[in-house]
Order: sequence, then structure tokens, then C-alpha cells
Amino acid sequence: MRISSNTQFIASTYSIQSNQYRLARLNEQLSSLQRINRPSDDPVASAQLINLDQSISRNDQMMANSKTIESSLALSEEYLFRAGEIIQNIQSLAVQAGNASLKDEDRAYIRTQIQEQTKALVGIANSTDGQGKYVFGGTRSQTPPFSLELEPEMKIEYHGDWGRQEIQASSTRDIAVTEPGGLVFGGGSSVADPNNPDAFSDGNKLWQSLARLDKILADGPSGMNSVAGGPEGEQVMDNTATPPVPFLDKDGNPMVFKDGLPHVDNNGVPHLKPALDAAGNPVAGRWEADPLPPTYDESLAASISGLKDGHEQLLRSHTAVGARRAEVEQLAKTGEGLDVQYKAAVGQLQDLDYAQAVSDLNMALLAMDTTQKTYKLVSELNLFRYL
Amino acid sequence: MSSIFNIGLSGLNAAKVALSTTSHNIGNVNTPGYHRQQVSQAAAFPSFEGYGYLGRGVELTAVNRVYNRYLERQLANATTQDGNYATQLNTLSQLDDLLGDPATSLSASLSGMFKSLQGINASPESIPARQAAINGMQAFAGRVQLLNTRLEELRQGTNTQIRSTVSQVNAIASQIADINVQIQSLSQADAMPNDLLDQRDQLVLDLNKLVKADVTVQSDGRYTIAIGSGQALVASGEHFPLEVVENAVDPQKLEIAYAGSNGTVRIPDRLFDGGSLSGLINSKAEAINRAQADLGRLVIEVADQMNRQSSLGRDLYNEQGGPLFKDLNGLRPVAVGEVNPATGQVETLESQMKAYRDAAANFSVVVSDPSRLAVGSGLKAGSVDATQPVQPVITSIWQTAPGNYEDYAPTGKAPSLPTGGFEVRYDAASSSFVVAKPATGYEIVPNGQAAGGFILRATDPANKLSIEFKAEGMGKEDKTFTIGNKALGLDTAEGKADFQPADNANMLELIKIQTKETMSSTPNGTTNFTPGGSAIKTTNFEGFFGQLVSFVGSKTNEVKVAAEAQGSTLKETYLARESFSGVNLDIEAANLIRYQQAYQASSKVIQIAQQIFSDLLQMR
Repeated sequence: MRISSNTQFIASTYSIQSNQYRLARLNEQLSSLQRINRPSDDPVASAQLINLDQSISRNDQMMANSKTIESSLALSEEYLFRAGEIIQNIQSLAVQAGNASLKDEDRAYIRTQIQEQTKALVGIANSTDGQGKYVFGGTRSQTPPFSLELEPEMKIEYHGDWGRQEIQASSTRDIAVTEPGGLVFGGGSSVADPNNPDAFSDGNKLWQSLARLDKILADGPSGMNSVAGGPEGEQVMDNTATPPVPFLDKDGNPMVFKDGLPHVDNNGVPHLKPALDAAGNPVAGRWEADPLPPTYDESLAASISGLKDGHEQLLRSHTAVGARRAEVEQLAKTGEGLDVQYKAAVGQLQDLDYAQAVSDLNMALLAMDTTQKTYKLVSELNLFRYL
Repeated sequence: MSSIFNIGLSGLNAAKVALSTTSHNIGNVNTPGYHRQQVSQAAAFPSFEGYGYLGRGVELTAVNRVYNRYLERQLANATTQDGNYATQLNTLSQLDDLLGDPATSLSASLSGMFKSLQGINASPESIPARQAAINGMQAFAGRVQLLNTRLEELRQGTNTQIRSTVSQVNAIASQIADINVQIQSLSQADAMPNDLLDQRDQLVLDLNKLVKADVTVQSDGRYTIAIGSGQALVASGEHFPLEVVENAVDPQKLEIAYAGSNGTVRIPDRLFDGGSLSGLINSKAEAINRAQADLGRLVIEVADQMNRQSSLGRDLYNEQGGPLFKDLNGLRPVAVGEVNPATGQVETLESQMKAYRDAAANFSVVVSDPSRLAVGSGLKAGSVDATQPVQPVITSIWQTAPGNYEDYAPTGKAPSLPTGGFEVRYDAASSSFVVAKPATGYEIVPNGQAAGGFILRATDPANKLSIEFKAEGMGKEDKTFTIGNKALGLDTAEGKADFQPADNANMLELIKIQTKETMSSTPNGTTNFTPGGSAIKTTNFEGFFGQLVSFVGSKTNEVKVAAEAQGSTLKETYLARESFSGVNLDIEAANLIRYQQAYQASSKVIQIAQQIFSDLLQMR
């Protein structure tokens, strides 16, 4: 083959150039220690890396969220723990109030103590977090959720709502970081039927018991009904038998009880109300026994039982919060495991095979060196040197 | 006697011509496009002298260049393909670096935006957390702008190159036309002006670097040069200039037109299949356009999805949520060939491109007051009256926006609740929720995605109303709830409004957009950038951006491989021509000696003839 003078030049510069390109690429890889430095180095892996980066970023966020959830729940848990202690204190005070030898002054003293404890309890229920928002207000965190009035009688009301603030703890799990106070402590102290003050409603027993306790300690046994018990259901009387105490119906005729005694409180007042027919109209001559106002001991027993139920309700919330904390801890651990796995996957995709790269670099350097030397030697071969 | 003189003289002359041709070769060893020249010589016609034919010395027949048309054509083809790929690679590498660079890449700022929005959930009423979220959104919008600006620069750069390439093509074509005329006038019967031919061939090669050009040699030696599908650029001594014209719909799209004898004709892009001009056209059409269209489509969808969910929430003033980003739905193009309801025009590739570029350029955050972020839900649930038991309770309730733009496009709003809201009853016997009011048309199903969650939805699939809620304390008692929109406004002295600053149900739904499948893949990179309305959404925002990066990476990789192969082909064809037509200095050095000796020998002949002549004169 014929060789022109430019052949050698062209071939050598081409080789030098491609060697330089290889050296530049190896240099880039070795200085970044990454196999992939731009998408075209491995387009499929680049797209995977973007997805993995999103996963890592989200996982980081979930782990950070877990920490936030954990600290919020820890705060709630601390408050619930203290609230439980106060309820236990009130419970033991209530038991003391049942002591028959107590004088009115003693009861007043116990009442004062219970009022102070109630203030403390409402104070906890109105707790704020580090940013001044009310922990137990549901999502109405801007105002104190509970109000407490002591006069004329103890009254507690809930002004929050039933919503919860949640934080995402994993892609499919939002975890509540707050408990609405209405669910934890109860929605208020008022009872549905003022004539039946010991009929507490589910969910509100804590506040209802406290209010009731306050009232009976103020009244004392002497200020209340002393006749214990009394049948609950319907006691029907008519004028067929002579009553132990004469009762007259609306026509002035004497009435008799069909069975048993009438319900008479310690003032001798019978507790009766006209029996109603299906249409809601009074039935002539027929009366129903109205439950007697509770006695001190009955109300105290109901309050103690109510306090116990209220405490249990609080403990249920406490348990739920604890369970959520445990779940978040578990999720955080899973997150850490995932983080390791994601990063391993990223490593597999983009990490440089260091040994291979260094060996490639040596080869490339050798090739470059040889090309340059060859070029120099061959370009010196020239007939004109001998003319 | 005189014949010896003449023979010597002819030898002397031949050697001198050979020496000057050799010197010419040596002098042009580095001239681009130079073909080495050779002198052809032959013995002169002999004269009859009776006893036989007597030689009359040497005669010069021609000075030719060593030229192989086949090799030249190969070189032109290799050059034009090399120009194409090298130019494409140049543009694509910039795009490749741009998308792969962590400093300009979108994916980190997209994650960052959602991260900062997540931060609000930890403390929904915290102004610093809300401000951080706005900053996160602005950082994302800024990154989009940065990327779009760089893409615009690439586009402008390509356009500038197209204009300058076309003017170069015109300049070269006019030079070739001039040389055509000169060659015609200088050509004798067999003798051609070799160096002018070289010059013209080199111009053709230069032209091929810019645009693929086919050469036809006319019988009189002039070149006719055609480009595209046969549009004559040079015919004989005339040249027909190319023009750059802007597309009527998208002025950023440049088209090449040909000013022929019948007026200006646009040459379709696909007819250019070589040279840097086609490299510029291709890389712009396939890569830059695709990148910018995808970016535009991404931000239209980001703005739409986020704004829609935001509009269902309540801000810290307990007012309805406003848009987070500038509304870009007006720019939303449809698939090529369909009628765009916004413009009433049939969509073309150009109108799509224009819309997407406008969208990317206009993407910005409109919410600036941190309190205006709609973090809370717009709905509330409560007991229907005071006789209801405390439990169960609905602990959170919010409305989710429809996932597809098409689902709410007719009204432009997410579906609203029926007048008077809902009444929903917990039925203890069946442990399920039922819709009590309105009596028909709605149902409640457990939400498989979230524990303790329920979805209230319309039974008619066309009604996209979807309300999610979470309930707790479902026991043995029935309870009826009302579900309705929250009253607007803050608490006043007169009464309590439905203001719940710690409610973050809407933000929880908003951040779920990050992983929702909201995007469908780009149908094809060159003839349509918009999938039809019924296309399945297959990926989330980040995944969609990943597809774009992968596309540009593959394209760059493909062109890189092709460019390397073409570079090597070009080198080989160049070497082949060099070995045939190139100058070898060693051979020329040997020739110098050879022709010098011939010259010296012919001089000797003349010297001897002179000697004989003077010897004759001295005989007397």
C-alpha cells in the first residue's frame, strides 16, 4: 500500500485523540469515584437512580417524621401519665369521703382538696406543647379546650373538636400525633337528666363524677335524701287498697299502692309521677314511682365507680398513644433498614470498580505513551535529512 | 547534429517540467484537498532517415492529478455523516450534562418541595414551617426556570447555528458556481486546470460538512450540486441560495427554504440526512424539543394537581384555599390532530411545542402569604343532635380532588357536595357506615389504603366526588353524623367558627400527590408530545422526569456511538484517499534526485553536441 506523508500524521493524531478521550473519561470516573457521571453513561441506570433518590429522600423524610411523631406522642404520654396520677389521688380522696365518722368540716376539707386536684387535672387537659398550641384540643388548638367553673357548682365543658392531627409515617400509614381531649377526658360534666344526677353517660364519666362528688361533698348526708334504695322500674298503684299514708288522686279519692311501699324521702314526700299512656296522656288513677333522689352513700359509690371508668377511659387513650409510639419506633427501624438497602442499590448502580478503573488507566497511559513515541520516531524518518 | 541538440533540449525541458511538478507537490504537501500531480511524457515521433527511424527525443503529453472519483465520493459521504453526528453530539452532550448535573437537575428540588410541605404536618399553624414550604415550592419553580432558560439557550444557540450554517452553505455554493465558470473557460481539449479542480473538490467537501450535497459532473466539466430531494443548489455558473424562514405557529422553529426559479419552497426537515445542518435540525427536533415539552407538561400537571387539592382546603384565615402555582391549564395542549377546545384549532407539533414552552416559562409560585397555605380540610363532621352518643367520632374528614384533569375539566372545579351536605349513620348492627341523606346516589366503602379509613363516593362513576374520613370508637351504639363544608372565617366575639388551625387533613392529601401516578409517558419524541386524554397514567412526577433523563441519556449514547463509528469511518476513507492521492515526501525527494540526474544527463548531451560542433569547426 502506498503511504502518503500525511497518512502517518492523520493516523497518529487520531490515535492520540482517542487515547486522550479515554484518559479524560477515566480521570473523570476516578476523581468522582462514580461509574455514571452523566445520563448517557448508562441511561437506564440513570432513571433508576432518580427513582432511588426519590425513595431515599422520602425515606429520610419518613424517618424525620417518625422522630416528630415520637416526640409529640411522648409529650402526650407524659401528660396522660400525670393525669392518671391525679385521678388516682382524687379516687383515694373520694374513698376517704365515705368514712361515716367524718364531720361537715372534714368533708369541706376533702372538697377543697378535690377542687384543687380537679383544677390540676383540667390544667393538664389544657396543656400546650412547645409552640403554645393546646395538645388536647383536637384540631382547635388555638383555644384552651376545657373550661372549669367552681361556682355555683362545678361545671366542666369541652370546647375542642374531635379531629386529630396526623403525620405521614410511611407511604400508606398516617399516624395521629394528638388525641382529642373529648375522647381522653370526656366531653363535659353535665348529665342528661338533672333529676337523676347519678346516671352518668359513657365517655363523660370522669367530669360528671367529679362534679357530682363536689356537689355531694358540699351538701353532705344531712342535706340529701337518707332513705336508701328504691325500686327502679314501674310501681303502679291504684285505689284498690288502703295506702299506709293517705294519698288522694285528683278527684280527692284515697289511693292505695298495689304492692310494696311508696317511695318517700326523708321529708315524707312521695316520689310519684302520673303514669302515661301510649299517647303520652296521664292515665286517671294510675301513678308511677319516681326514683328517689340518691343518698350520699349512693352518689359517692356512683362517683367512685364513675372515676374508675373515667380513669380506664384515660388509660385506653394512654395505651393507644403508647401503641402508636411503639409502631413509630418500628417504622423508624424499618426506615433505617430500607435506607441501607437503597444506598446499597445506588452503590451497585453507580459505584466505580476501582481496581478495574486503575488498571484501565495504566493501560491507557501505556497506549498514549507508545503512540507518542512511535509518532516521534516515525516522523524523524525523512529522506530529506540525507540530501 | 542539430538533432542531438534538440534531443538534449527536449530531455532538459522534460526534466525541468518534472522537477517543477515535483517541487509543486512538495510545496503543497499540506494543502487541503491537494492531489499530487504527475507529468506524462512520451518519446517524440521518430523521423525517417532512410536507414530507419531516428528518435527525436522526449515529448510532454500532460500534467495530471492523481484522482479517484470513487474515493472522493466515499470521503464526501463520510464527511457529511460525520458532520451530522458530531453536531448532534455537541448539542446532546450539553443537554446530557444539564439534566445529569445535580446542581441543575429537577429531581432533588422536586423531592425538596414535598419535603418542605411535609414539614407543615408536624406543626400546621407554625408560620416558619409554612414559610419553609413556600420557599421549597419557590426553589422548585426556580429550578424549573433555570432548566428552561438553559434549554432556551440551547435552542437559541442551535437556531443561530442554523442561520450561520445556511449562510455558509450559500457562500460556498456561490464560490463553486464561480469556479465552475473559470474551469469552463480555462479548460482546453485535454488539459484541465488541476489546482482549480482541487479547489472546487475541496469546496464540495466543505459543503458536505454542512449539508449533504450530491454532485453531478456535466459533460463540460462543470458541477451540478443538489441537496435534499434534488433541489439544485448550484447549476452550471448559477447558484440558488437557501433561506431560513420562521414557522408561522412557532417562530422558534426555523425551516429551510429554497429560492428556486419558481419562488420560495420549504424543504421538509426529514430530507436533510447529513451534514451539520441536519445534525442541528435533528438534535433540536428530537432532544431539545422533547426535553422542553416534557418539562412543560410536567409543570402544567404539577400546578394543576397541587392547585386542585389546595382549593379544597382551608387556610389559617379559615378561608377557602387558593392556588399554589400559576394556573397553566389554559396552555394544556391536546394530542396532535385533535381539536384543542381552548383554541378551537387542530393541534400541531408546533402549537404543542409553543404551549409547552410558554408553560415552562410561566411556571411560578403565586401563594406568598404563609397563612394562605390551605393545610386544613374544608369539611367538617359533627353529631346530628345532642342526643347522639359521644362515640363513635369522626377524627378527620377531607375531600380528595379527582386525579385526572379530564374528570373536572368541564367545570374547572372539583365536584361539590350536594346541597345541605350529607347525613351519615353508623350502623352498629352491621358495623358499617351508610349514607342517610341524600337517600340515593352515594355510598360509603372502607378505604383499603388506610386503616380505619372510609370513602364516601357517588355511585355514578361520572360524579367524581370523593370524601375520605377516619372514624374511631365504633361500638354498639348507632350514631348519625352531619357532613358539610366548614363555615368560613375566624372565631368572633359572637361565636365560634369552624376554625381548626391544627387540622392538616388537606396537606396530608396534598403531599400524597408526590407518589401518585399522575403522568403518562410521552407518546413519541418527534411527531407528538401529548398523550391522548385516555392515556393511562403510569408514573409520578419524579418517575416522569426520570424517563426524560433516560431518553436524553439513551439518545446521547446512541449518537455518541454513531459519532465514534463515523469518526473512524471518516479517518479510514481519508487515509484511503491520502494513500492514493496524497504526497509522499520521500518519493518526491527521490524524484528530485532522479529528475536532477536526468537534467544533468541532458545537459551533458548538449555539452557533447557543442563539443562535436566545435571539433568540426576546428578541422580545416
